Amino acid sequence: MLKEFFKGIWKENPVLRQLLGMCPTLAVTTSSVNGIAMGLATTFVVVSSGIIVSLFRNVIPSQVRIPVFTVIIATFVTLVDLILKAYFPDISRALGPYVPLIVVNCIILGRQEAFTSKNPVLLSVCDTLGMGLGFTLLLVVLGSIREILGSGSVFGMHIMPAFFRPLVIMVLPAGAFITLGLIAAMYNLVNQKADRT
Amino acid sequence: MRELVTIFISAVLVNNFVLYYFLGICPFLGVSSRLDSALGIGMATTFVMTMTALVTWPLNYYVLSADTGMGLPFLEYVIFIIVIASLVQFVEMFLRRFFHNLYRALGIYLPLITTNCAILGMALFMVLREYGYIETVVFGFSAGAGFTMVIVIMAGIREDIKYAPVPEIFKGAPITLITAGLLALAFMGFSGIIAP
Amino acid sequence: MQQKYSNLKMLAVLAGICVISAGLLGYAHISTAERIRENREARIRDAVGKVLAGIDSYERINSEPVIFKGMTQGEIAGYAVLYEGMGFQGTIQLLIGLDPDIHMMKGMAVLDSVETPGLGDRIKGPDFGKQFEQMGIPGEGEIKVDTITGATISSLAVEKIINRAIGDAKRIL
Repeated sequence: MLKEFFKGIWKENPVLRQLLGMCPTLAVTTSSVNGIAMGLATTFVVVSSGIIVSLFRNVIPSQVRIPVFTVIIATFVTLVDLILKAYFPDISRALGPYVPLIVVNCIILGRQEAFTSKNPVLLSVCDTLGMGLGFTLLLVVLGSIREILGSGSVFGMHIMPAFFRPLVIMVLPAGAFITLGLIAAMYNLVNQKADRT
Repeated sequence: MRELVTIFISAVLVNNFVLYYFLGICPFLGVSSRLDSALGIGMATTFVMTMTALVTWPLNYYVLSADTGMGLPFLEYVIFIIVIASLVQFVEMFLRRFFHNLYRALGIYLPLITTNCAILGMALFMVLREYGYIETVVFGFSAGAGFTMVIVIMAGIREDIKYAPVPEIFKGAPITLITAGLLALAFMGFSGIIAP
Repeated sequence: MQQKYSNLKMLAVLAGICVISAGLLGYAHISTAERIRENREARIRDAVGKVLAGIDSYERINSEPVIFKGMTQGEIAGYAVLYEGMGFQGTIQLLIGLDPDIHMMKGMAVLDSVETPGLGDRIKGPDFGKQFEQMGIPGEGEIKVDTITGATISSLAVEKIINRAIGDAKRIL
């Protein structure tokens, strides 16, 4: 069970290994706070829709499973959107249209198709939680790097010395692609080293 | 007319869906290793996007909107995604039946399009920016055209990279992402060609 | 027969899911609508308080564009105009504070914008906003802003929106 949980964080990390969920990964990570918020919102949606799909996995006819999964996911996303708007208006504004776009985050549909529709509830929770947190972790790392270099702060606190000039490119789209590319290269490097030993 | 041209240039060059809003990254990275398949998915996306614009605008205006419709904005996401999924299905059946050649060219890309976030993104932007009907249709088409353009450029670059000596750890995703980053950098040159 | 049964079941499941989803979301919408509205009003309240410093009450006196009248001890202290226009990336929504005679700007607040982080979105910063406090409005009604380096287009967009807002305010008030 722990194995199902941890595979999402490193070995089968949804972004680095499976290249899924790229849109929110790149779009909202201009700061670490945004990264956490998007990560947790996505985790909530993937875990709760995973529970529902797993519970009803024997009732859902396989021909219509994709539309059914999609409707379930869209329902939870709308819930998250309403909750953010009502209780965390600042976060809701920062994430903007990327909250509804969680619906088409391929990680979520992918997990239902590959795992939760075939496995019992408890295992499904472990799997989706692992994937969600693996996703969140990457978003926070990416968001922090971009925020430190692009705005000289992390979690909104200034940490860089006064002579540091923020590299604006880091908060622009180009910076997102390049930083993620470098992170993916590091990930490959670590895995390669681990394979050799 | 001027507004429509502005929408077109803005969606294709300045605020390109892929390089500026990061919409449709999955196919952009996944299907861009060959030129002909890139062109195929680009055209299929443009087609479905224009159709989506044609259908979702009246739906939003007359049913969902709180001001002009029946006040059901909370069903927006659910309904849009159902519309897109059914449209893709419908387009697939229609092409298979009447335009067999086109179906053979685009068919395999159509199922991939449902989860192309660019399409849902386009529908959401349409609501957010309060576009009129014609503006929306132009916007949908332009967003698709912009997507096609960058995915084709990307495929062209990647076909060349195949023969380049890329360091081992950069093979695959990393070099593709960095290429995309440089492309985004190049497209920043277009920013500012539209005066506010 | 078997085939027909499974088709029916398919439809039933799909319809069932949609009904449950709509019901759930309807309930969620009703229970959060009040708070979402309050949040929006609180934002407007903060912004009006900022651009018309020192008022003790305000009321909405016009829609299209939305104009608020700010009062201090029973006297009109100024007007706040809500106005939006195109920026570099998307719509910029501003609240513009004016004195009662529309001879002077009292302040400016950015309510909504999607300008480039680190460049254009510095129009939200205090350094840019400060120049509008007590800024005189020339006779012909066109103000000039000091643009931010690296955010020229966003700054000029703000200037354009403000000038249009002042024009409308003069016509209406």
